[in-house]
Amino acid sequence: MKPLLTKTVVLEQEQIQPGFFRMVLSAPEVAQRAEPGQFVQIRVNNGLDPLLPRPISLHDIDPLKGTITLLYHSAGKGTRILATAVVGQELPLWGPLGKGWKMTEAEEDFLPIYVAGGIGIAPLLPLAAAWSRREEPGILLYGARSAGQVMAVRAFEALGVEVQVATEDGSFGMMGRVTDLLEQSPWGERRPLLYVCGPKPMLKAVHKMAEAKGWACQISLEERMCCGLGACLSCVCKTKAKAAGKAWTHSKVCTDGPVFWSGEVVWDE
Amino acid sequence: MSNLAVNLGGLLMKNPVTTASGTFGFGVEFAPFIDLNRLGAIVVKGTTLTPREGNPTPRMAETPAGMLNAIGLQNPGIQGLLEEHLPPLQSINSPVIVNISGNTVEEYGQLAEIIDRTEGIAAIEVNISCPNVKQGGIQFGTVPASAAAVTRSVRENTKKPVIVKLSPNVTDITEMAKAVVDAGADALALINTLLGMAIDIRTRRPVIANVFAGLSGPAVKPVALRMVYQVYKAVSVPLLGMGGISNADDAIEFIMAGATSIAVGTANFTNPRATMDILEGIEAFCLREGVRDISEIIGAVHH
Repeated sequence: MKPLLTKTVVLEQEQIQPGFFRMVLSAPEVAQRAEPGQFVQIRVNNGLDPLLPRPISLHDIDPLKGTITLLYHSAGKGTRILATAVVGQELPLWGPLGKGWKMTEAEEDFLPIYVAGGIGIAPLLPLAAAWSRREEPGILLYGARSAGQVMAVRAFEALGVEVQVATEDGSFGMMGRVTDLLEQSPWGERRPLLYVCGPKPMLKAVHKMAEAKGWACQISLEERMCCGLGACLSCVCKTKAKAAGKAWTHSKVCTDGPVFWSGEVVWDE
Repeated sequence: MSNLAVNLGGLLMKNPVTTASGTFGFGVEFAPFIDLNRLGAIVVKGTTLTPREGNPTPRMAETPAGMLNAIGLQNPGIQGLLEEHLPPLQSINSPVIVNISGNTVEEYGQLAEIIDRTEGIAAIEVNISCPNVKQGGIQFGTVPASAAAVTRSVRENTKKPVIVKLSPNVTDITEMAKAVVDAGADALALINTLLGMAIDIRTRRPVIANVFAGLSGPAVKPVALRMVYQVYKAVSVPLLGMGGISNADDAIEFIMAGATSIAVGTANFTNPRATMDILEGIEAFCLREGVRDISEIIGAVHH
């Protein structure tokens, strides 16, 4: 579905963990068009600093209520301003953008495994909702630094998703990393389809495991983004080249992705 | 309704609003947001003879009221452009301008020759802010003789309007302007980005992988405006003004400084409807100010 430029209104803004915010926006047309794994470009203010919109993935899509939800870390100049937005405030945005998670055909009989690292949990919730509607809610394997960065667990559980958490300091769930959870292959005899979002080192580690073990795997990438429309070529990533004699080519994270099949992705050393 | 049609060195535009190369992809990226038919012209992504993957990332950094980019001319090459990206534009009722870059003077000529025999391309914009591979990588656009040589090479290979895009990273832009006009440029585009950089103080490294990058956006507007003013006085060919134009007022400033047409660049990233907002703002200004023909205000500040 084509994106559109629209003025949204903040309906809710809540700090759910220190530095992490959940914002609900009234955006009926975006909610009707959006698919899990897509993102929007949001202007945090009308000024010139920051100049560019912020790309933020959709954490919830509710076409009936006409709302979208963003879950974001107020870590930089733009998101810190976004965190000051109050209920009733208008924020222009455009979207939905990018290619989201791919659902497979039901007869392929995959079990969805959501693999999240930190704020990478955000775009996985609408995907879990979609799988849940297919009566295959799946399993969430969630790694975070500490309990203070674990979010949205109840929302996944409400969808019927089995949740397993690992924190580096052991303050929530098991002590360890998300790869430790993966090692236990908690899907038993089922065929897993991994949906992965998180920091780059985690993506690489999970990708490597998936390749070694032959698990189907999709990865949502992040790169410094500018237009979000495939025009400026700022946010490229390396993907396997189709042309002979070339190891890789540059793909656009914003429009070719952000979600790629792991087999397409080429990592820098 | 005022007459907004302009003639940019032989390129007829129904209004003065076009797009800055590299900020508008191949046009279709913006089709969900605007009616491309309403643009005075569409300038597509910079094209080279052979495909290029461009620079490593990070290629972009935000700065106050601006941004740095070092994309490195990633593009599918002229054949890729003609086969893949030009056909969808043929149904659009706006002239297409192709921006070209070369490693050598000869490459510019070859590109011009290919474009000359391609239907559906109305004009050539020549990016001279590229390193000259045969002369130690010095930019063509910073040496008047090299800039002139590139222009001549393009001129000799095409009858289509030739618009040479000037680099602001020179001591005297009027010297460059005169050199390329003498070599046969029909119009001049200015300015390209200003060379800059940014440093990540935590890693103690440049933010951009390429170290240097081109600054654009509202931050550069006063510099660009000054250069359009200077070049308007120095040469007699029409000018395509650009550099930080974000709204209609900015565009009208450029027109009054001497620009026949204007290009919207970075503003496309902050508002995908920027070109249309600017066009509508120019229309409203002319109506309000009793301007019957846009030509009445081109270079108005000089009269």
